[in-house]
Amino acid sequence: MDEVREPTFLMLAALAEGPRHGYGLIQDVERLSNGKTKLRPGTLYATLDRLTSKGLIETSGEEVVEGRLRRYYRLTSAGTAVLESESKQRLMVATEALRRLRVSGATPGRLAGGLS
Amino acid sequence: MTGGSDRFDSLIGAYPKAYREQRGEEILGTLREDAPTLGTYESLRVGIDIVAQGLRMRLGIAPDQLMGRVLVAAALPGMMMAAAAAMVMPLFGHVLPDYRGLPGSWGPATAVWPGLCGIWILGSLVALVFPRRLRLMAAVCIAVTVLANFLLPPAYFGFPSGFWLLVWLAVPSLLAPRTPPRWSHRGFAVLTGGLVLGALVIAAVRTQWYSSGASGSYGDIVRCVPYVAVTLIVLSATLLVTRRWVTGSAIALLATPWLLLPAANTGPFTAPTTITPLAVAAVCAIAVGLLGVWAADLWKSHRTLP
Repeated sequence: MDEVREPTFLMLAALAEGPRHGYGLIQDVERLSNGKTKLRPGTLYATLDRLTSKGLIETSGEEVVEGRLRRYYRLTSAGTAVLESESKQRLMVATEALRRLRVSGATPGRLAGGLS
Repeated sequence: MTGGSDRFDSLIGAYPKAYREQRGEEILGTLREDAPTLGTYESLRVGIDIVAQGLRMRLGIAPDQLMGRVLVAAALPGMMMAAAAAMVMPLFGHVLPDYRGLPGSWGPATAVWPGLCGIWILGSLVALVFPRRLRLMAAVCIAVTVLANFLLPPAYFGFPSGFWLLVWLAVPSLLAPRTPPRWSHRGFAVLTGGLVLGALVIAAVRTQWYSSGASGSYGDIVRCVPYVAVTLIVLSATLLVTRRWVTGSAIALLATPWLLLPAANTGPFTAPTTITPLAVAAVCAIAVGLLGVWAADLWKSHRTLP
């Protein structure tokens, strides 16, 4: 698996809770990233195609709501493994960064206070 | 259906027909759900994004297709090579017109061409530090160069053909489906830029550009580019032998303008026959292979979902 970039990671994380359709993914990714990442539909479907071809996600059904076709996607076991591994890696880096900040005396609380 | 939805209906036409048939309704559904939350500016960006993704798919340069990955790998090295060439170009007469006995007053040779070189160097460095700005920087450099060619009055030197080399080297940055993500990409880009710079400087010394007198200047950079082509062919071959297909192909792609520039400049400044037929055959073989895979990707993307 190549490097998992931030939007891809967020999409996989959004699917961890269960199947999502395109617009549901856009909303969930925006929520997960605190509004920092807003996927555009063109990019969303390019990424969905790529993840499908890599076997990380699969379609899990479709429905028509108010005349609009919704296709749902879910994680495969390979996708779950990649998400788990990537999450652990990111958690490890974040934990180490916080530890170093504590060691240097610049705790996150003090940093935030200093900046505000 | 709203006017906005109608617009999306037409935008979706950017995708290949087979893809539209399989996924068009789904993408349209998402666009229509998303549309009410968008302002005018964001709506415009969504439209551009749809068209760009559709065209990429039509051209077979999506991020998961070989040509797409080759373009990503070629983007930053191409800009670094352009920066190296822009650093060396002024040495070949663009800021030293007097030795040819021509007036040394303000003009393209004394100010505009060196300025253009400066823009390329600056643009490439900004792209190196901020890869997210890569496409913007390439677009700016290309646009300024093309405008300089068409808008400036004909100068006594004419438009140096070396600038078309820079434009070619920046094209992968414009077409690449995404920016190079890692620092290692930047290290490799700096390495290739350094190799090109070194090859050009060594070539400049070997071809004794000062001694060529009135026939010097622009002819000499054309005489030097075959040295760069050889350097890049060796680098590409090394990468391919070590099974780095994408990077090897990217370097082969970037080697082609260095081969074509002397071929396009025949006459008294024609490059010496430094390139052996074997090297030209190697680049042609890589190019044919790349085109083959590209055609296969293109055929696939027009028929099925990835």
